[in-house]
Amino acid sequence: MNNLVIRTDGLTKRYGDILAVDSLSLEVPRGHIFGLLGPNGSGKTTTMGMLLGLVEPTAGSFTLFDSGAHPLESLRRVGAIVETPSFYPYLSGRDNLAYFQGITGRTDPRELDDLLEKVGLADRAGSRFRTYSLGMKQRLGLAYSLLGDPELLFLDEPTNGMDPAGMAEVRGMIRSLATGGRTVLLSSHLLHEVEQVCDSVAILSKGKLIAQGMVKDLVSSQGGERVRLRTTDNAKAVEVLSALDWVGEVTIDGESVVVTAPGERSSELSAALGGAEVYVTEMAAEEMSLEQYFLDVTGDDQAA
Amino acid sequence: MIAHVMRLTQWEWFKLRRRWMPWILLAVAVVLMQIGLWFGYAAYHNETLQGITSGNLTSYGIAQEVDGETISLEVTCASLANEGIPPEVQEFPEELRGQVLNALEEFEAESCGNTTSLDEIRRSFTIPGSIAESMTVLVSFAPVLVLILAASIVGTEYGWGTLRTTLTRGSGRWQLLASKIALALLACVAAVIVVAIAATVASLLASVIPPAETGQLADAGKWSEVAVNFGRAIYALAPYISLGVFLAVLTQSAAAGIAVSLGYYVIELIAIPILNSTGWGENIADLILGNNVNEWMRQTVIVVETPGGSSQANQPETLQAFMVILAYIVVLSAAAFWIFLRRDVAGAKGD
Repeated sequence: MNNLVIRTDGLTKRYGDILAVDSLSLEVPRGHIFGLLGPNGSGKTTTMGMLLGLVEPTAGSFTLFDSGAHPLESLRRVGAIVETPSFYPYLSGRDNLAYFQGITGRTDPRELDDLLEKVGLADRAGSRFRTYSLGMKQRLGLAYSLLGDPELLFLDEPTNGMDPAGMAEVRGMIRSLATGGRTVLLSSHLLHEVEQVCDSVAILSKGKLIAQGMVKDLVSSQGGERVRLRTTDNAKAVEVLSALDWVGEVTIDGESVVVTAPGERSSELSAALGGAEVYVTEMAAEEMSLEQYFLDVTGDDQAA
Repeated sequence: MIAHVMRLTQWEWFKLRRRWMPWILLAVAVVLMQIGLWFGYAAYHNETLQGITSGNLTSYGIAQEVDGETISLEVTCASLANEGIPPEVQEFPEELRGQVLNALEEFEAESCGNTTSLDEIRRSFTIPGSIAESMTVLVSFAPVLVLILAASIVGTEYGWGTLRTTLTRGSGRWQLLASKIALALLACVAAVIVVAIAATVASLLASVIPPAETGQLADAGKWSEVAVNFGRAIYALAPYISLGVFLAVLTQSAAAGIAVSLGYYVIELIAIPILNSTGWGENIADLILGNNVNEWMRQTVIVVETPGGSSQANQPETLQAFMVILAYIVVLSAAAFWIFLRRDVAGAKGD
């Protein structure tokens, strides 16, 4: 069994003058929950569209399951919801699932019941899709993506429109989905969601891949922890701390000084400042979050 | 691959029969066909209507004084159709006879084009003629319904965004479009069968309402013509499926697909008589879809055999109609596939 389920090589999509995806080379390992992050318009959905055969790449190539199988054969091993789940409004939730199950050549009413139960739609399975709330549509989308027990799941903003309890439930569900070798490619604008759920992540900006790797590795690569402190003289504190060779970046953030340094060496920071007659009035260790990392690497693009 | 298309078609049928739209279109088809059939029934039994439709009330008279004696002649469309030129023409002097014959010819050409013999009216509501006739009547208005159906089957997938949902399950693009065309064709076959059954039921009903008129159930030859008419009706509707599908794919919308295709249909209706009225336009009119469908179906009307009469079959024109219709089916379908296979698929367009 190969370890990569998605491999792209210089994948590019151009719409006229607009370069939506620029030479994207991704590697998604099997069994991971892989986050696709990026500001709006960074090319996340276009990338998913190309991998799902909805959008024709302008250049580059990709393989699913690292095999030479026909793309349709590969797609039959995939479950996906892209943007807002779209179903037939005049059919019930159950009939919608029955249709999408049927076109793949299977008819298994028990699977439909199980999936509707799993996503909490069993009570409304007979109602027409047009009567569903956005949260219910998302749940039906999740059930749809799980039809046929796919090896690879594409989930584009799966918690969009859900209430907080529903979001927590779905996040738990996504974690449980990545068992038995199943891979999940998750696109979300909620960075803390990705941080909570994903093992590894790729960050896109203006169609380009900015960073890719395990979430914990990416965060630690930026210097790991940070220490936020308030002093009697912030300007002098910056001067003193910048001179320490084991200290990373030192910046002033409002009334605080933010220092990239291991949390366990906080007392050494305090001692160094005290030696220069700068006194610490408040000190707190901060762990670098994916959100901070994301904002750092995407610069002015802002959060997704 | 074929099995996959058949499976997709089966599930397309699953969806279609759960929609209101096809049932409404079918009801419209049945009601319009019934109106035609019962109008025939009324025309046959009502003296005035009978006179109008059969040409009995459309008459022409000539009176001429010859040698102090008045020679008169009166004909109707019905008498011309059934008995031909009356023998009284011979009573006119030779120098006038030519003028009288010319006048009768002119009258027949200008006033008797739309008349139908009583036998033809009768067969429009008696089995098996009524079944064949129902298919001809159906094709006269069904293109509108077929365009709505075909454009809707494809266009709503864009509007609801379900095209993306379906394609991501590995349906395959050409297989999906082929299944939709097959579905529209299947729906047309089903509609023609339903209309034929409705015509049969109505004819049986007409046969028990006094004064009863029964058909020719034992006439095997006429039943084979019903089968031929069935095939011709389906073939005549097929290019409209291609047109509706093509325009829905092109516009990526059911509403736009329906609007543009119906617009084309109406423009054709207006353009055909205009083009036919000009010498240079006739050649263009020969290539217009509606004209060829009319020609194709005109040949399907069961010909009433009269003593000494001959078949109205016109092989070269029928062959041309067949070929032009085929060209429309092939070109429009190929264009629809070409676009569908190449264009990127986006989300719901809210149609």
